[in-house]
Amino acid sequence: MADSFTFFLIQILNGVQEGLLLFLVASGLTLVFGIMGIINLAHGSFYMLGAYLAFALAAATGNLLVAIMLAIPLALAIGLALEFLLFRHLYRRDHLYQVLLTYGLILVFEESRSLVFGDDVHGVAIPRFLDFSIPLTANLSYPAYRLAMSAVCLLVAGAMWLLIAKTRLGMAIRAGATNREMVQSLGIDIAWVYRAVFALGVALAAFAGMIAAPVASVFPGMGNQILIISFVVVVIGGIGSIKGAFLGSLLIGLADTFGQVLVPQLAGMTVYVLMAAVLVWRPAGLFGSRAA
Amino acid sequence: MNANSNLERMLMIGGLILLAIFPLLAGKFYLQLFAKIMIMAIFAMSLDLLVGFTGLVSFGHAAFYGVGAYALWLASPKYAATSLYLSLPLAMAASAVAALVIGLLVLRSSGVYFIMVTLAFAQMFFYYVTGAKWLGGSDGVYIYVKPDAALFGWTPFSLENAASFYYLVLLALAATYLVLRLLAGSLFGHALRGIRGNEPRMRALGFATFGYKLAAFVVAGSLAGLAGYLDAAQYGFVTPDFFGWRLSGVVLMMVILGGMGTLYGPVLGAFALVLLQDSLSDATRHWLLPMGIFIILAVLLLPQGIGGLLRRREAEDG
Amino acid sequence: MAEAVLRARDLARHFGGLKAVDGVSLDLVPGSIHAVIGPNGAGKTTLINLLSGDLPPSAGSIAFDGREIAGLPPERIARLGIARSYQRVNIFERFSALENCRLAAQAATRHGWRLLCPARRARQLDARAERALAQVRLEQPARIAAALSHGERRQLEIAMTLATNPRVLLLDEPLAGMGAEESTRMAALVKALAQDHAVLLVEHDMDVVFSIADRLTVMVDGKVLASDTPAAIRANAAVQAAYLGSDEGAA
Repeated sequence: MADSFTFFLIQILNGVQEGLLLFLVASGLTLVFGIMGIINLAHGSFYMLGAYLAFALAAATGNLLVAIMLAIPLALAIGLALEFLLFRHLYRRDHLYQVLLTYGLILVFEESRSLVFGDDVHGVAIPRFLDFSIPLTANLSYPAYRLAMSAVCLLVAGAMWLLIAKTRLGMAIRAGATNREMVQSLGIDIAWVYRAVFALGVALAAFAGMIAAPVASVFPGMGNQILIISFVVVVIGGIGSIKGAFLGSLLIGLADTFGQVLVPQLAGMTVYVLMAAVLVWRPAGLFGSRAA
Repeated sequence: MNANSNLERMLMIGGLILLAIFPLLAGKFYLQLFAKIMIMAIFAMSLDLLVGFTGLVSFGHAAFYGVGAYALWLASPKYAATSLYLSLPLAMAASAVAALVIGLLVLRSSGVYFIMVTLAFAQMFFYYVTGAKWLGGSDGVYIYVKPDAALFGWTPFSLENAASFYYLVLLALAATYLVLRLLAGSLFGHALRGIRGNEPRMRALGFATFGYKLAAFVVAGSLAGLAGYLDAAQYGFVTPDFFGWRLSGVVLMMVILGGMGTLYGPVLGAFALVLLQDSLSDATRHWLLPMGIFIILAVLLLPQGIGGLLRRREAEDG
Repeated sequence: MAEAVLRARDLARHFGGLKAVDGVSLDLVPGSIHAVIGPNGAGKTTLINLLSGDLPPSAGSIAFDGREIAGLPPERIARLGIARSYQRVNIFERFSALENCRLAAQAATRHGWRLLCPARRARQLDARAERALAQVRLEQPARIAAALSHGERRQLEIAMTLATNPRVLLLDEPLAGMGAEESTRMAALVKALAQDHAVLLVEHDMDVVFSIADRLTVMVDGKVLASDTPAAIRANAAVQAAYLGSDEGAA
C-alpha cells in the first residue's frame, strides 16, 4: 500500500516536471503570439537548438553547467538575430505567411542539425553532483536531477512572473498584448519590446532543451515533438495567457504521465483527448478571452 | 472573375490533354513520377477547397491522406488484390468520416487556433498509428498486390501496368477538378467564398456557416483520402509519416505558392514542388535545406505571395 | 396602432464593469420607424448587436412574434426575418453588387441539394436580388463591390438586408458619410421601406430623424432617457438638457 502511494507520488513528480519543462517552451510561444501576433512553427526548433548546444558545449567543456552558462547568451543572440533578419518582417502579415516562413525555418534548422551533428541519438551526462537518487521507500527512489529540473523551472517561472508583474518591460508586455498604441504612449519603443520578448522566448525554449538533454537525450525531431505539445498547451490555456500556459502545461504533463501509466495502449493520445474536451467546452481555451 | 475562370478552364483542359498523351512519349520512371505529381495535385486541390475557397488554413490535412492510405491496406487481403470499386469508395468514406469527426471539433475554433488544432489532431493520428501494432506501428505496412479492376470477371485494365495506373490517376485528377469546379461555381461555393471574405457578415445574413464549413471539410477530407489511397496503391508502402506534419506542410506550400483560390494553382504548385524536390534530392541528401531557404525567401521577397499576384489580377479583371 | 413584432424588455449588456446597454426596452411596430438617438458611446450600436444576435445580452428578453429569441445565434435571428445593416459598410468586396445580393437572398431560402446548382443559374435568387437592387436604385449591378462609390456601397448594404426578405430592419447610421443629396434620397428610401417593414433607425442626422421617425428613443450612457413621439421628445426638458440643447454638436 505504501509502495503504491509512493508510485503515485513518483508519477505526480514526473508529471509536474514534464509540465514545468513544457511551460518554458509554451510560455514563449504564447507570448510571441499574444504580443506580436505571430504563430511560430519554428519555436520547437529553439528547444532542439538548446539541447544540441548543451550537447556540443558539454562535450567541449566537460561540464553541463558551464555549457548552459555559455549557451544561454548564445541562444539570446540567435533570437535577436532571427528577429532582426526574419521575424520583424512578419508582424501584421497574414498567418498564412507566418506559417510558411516558419515552416521553411524548421526545414533549415532540421537539415543544419543533420549536417552538423548527424542523425544519431546522443546522450548528455548528468552533472556529477546531481547524479544520485533520493530514496523514497525501500524499493523506490527518485533521481535528484529531475527534482533539480523542476526546482529550476519553478525559479524561472517565478522570475518571469516578477518580470511581467513588476518591471517596466513587463508593463510594456502586458500593455502590448492588448494595446500597441498604449505602449508607444508610455514612451517605450515597441520594436525593442518585440525584440526582447522574442529573444526571451527563444532563450526559454533553448534553456528547456538544455536542461532536458540529460534525461530526454538529444535526437532529431525532438523540436517538433515539443512544438506540437506546446500548441496543445496554448490551445488549452488560451492564446496569449501566461497563466493559461502554466496551468495548461501542468495539466498536460500530468495527463501525459498518467496516461502512459494507466492506459499505455493509448499512450500519447491522452493530451489530444484533453484538448478535444477543452475545445468542446471552451473553444477559446481556459483563459482565452477571444476565439482568435 | 469570368476572365479568370476561362483562363483556368483553358489551362486545365490543355494540361489534361498534355498529360493524356504523356505516356506515349515517356518511360516508366517518368510515368511513375508524374502519377505521383498528379496524386499530390489531387491532395493540394482538396486542401485548396479549405484554404483558398473557405479561408480555413488547415495544417493537418495529411490526417485524411493517411486514413485513405491505411484504408486500402485494411481492405486488402495479405497476398491478394482487393476490388478497386469496393476499396476506393471505402477509403474515401473512411476519410470523410474522419473529417466529419475532426471537423466537428476543430471548426469550433478559427484563425490561428485552427492552424494549431488541425496540426495537433493530425499528430494525434500519427502517434496513435505509430503505437498501434494492429496498424503495423512505426514500421508501416506493405500492400503486396495492387487493387484489382475486374468487373464481373472482366478485367478492363491492370493497375500493375504503369500506364494503366497513370491513366487511373489522371482520371481521378480530372474528376477531382470537375467536382471542385462545380462546387466552386455553385451556390454552395459562393457561400464558402463569402465565409472566407467575412464570416460574421455571412452569419448576420442568416447563413449557418458552421454547416457549410463542415461540409467543405468533409469533402476536402474525402478527396485527400482519394489521394492517399492512390499513393498507397502506387508504392504499396504506407507509414505513419503519411499523417505527418511534414506532408501537411508540403501540401500547404503547394497551395500557397501555386496560388490559393484557383484550382490550377495547387496543380502547378504540386508540379513545381515535386519536380524541385526530385531534382534537389538527386543533388543532395539534404535537399530540404535549399527547400527551406527557398520558402523563406519566397515569403520575404513576395510580400503578397504568388497567390497575391493572382488575386490582384482577379480584382482588375472584375 | 399595429401589434409590435419585436419587443425588447430590460435589455442589458455589460463589458466587464462597463454597462454599454442598461435596461433598454422598446417595441418595433410594422409600418413605422423607431429611431434611437444619443451621443457617441450611448450604446446604440450595442443595442443593434443585441437585437441581431451578434452579441448575446447579459440580461433581458427579446420577443419576436411572441417568441423569445435573446441569446440565439445571429444566423437564426436573421432567418427569422430580422436583418441589420452596419455603421461601417460591411459588404463582400470581391463580389459584384448582384452577387452580394444573391448571397443575401440565398441566406434566406431553404435549399438543401439545390445548393449544388450553379450560382449563375439560380434565377429565383437573381430575381430577388435584382428586386432589392431596384428598390434602392443601385444601377449597373454587375460592378464589383470594391469599385462602388461610398453612397452606392451604402445602398448596396441596404439592398442586401432587403434581399433576405426581412420583416424587421435594424439600420445602423445608413446616412453616415453621405452627401446632402444622397442623404435626402436615403432618407426617402428608409421612409418608403417603413411601409412594409418595422424599422429601427440609429442615426445622427437630427433633421432626418425628426422628419421621418414615428417614435424616438433617446439613449444616454446605456440607459433610456426618454421614449416618445418626435414632438414630445423635442419638448422634453430632460432631453433638452442632456442632449439636444447644449450638446448637439457632439451628436
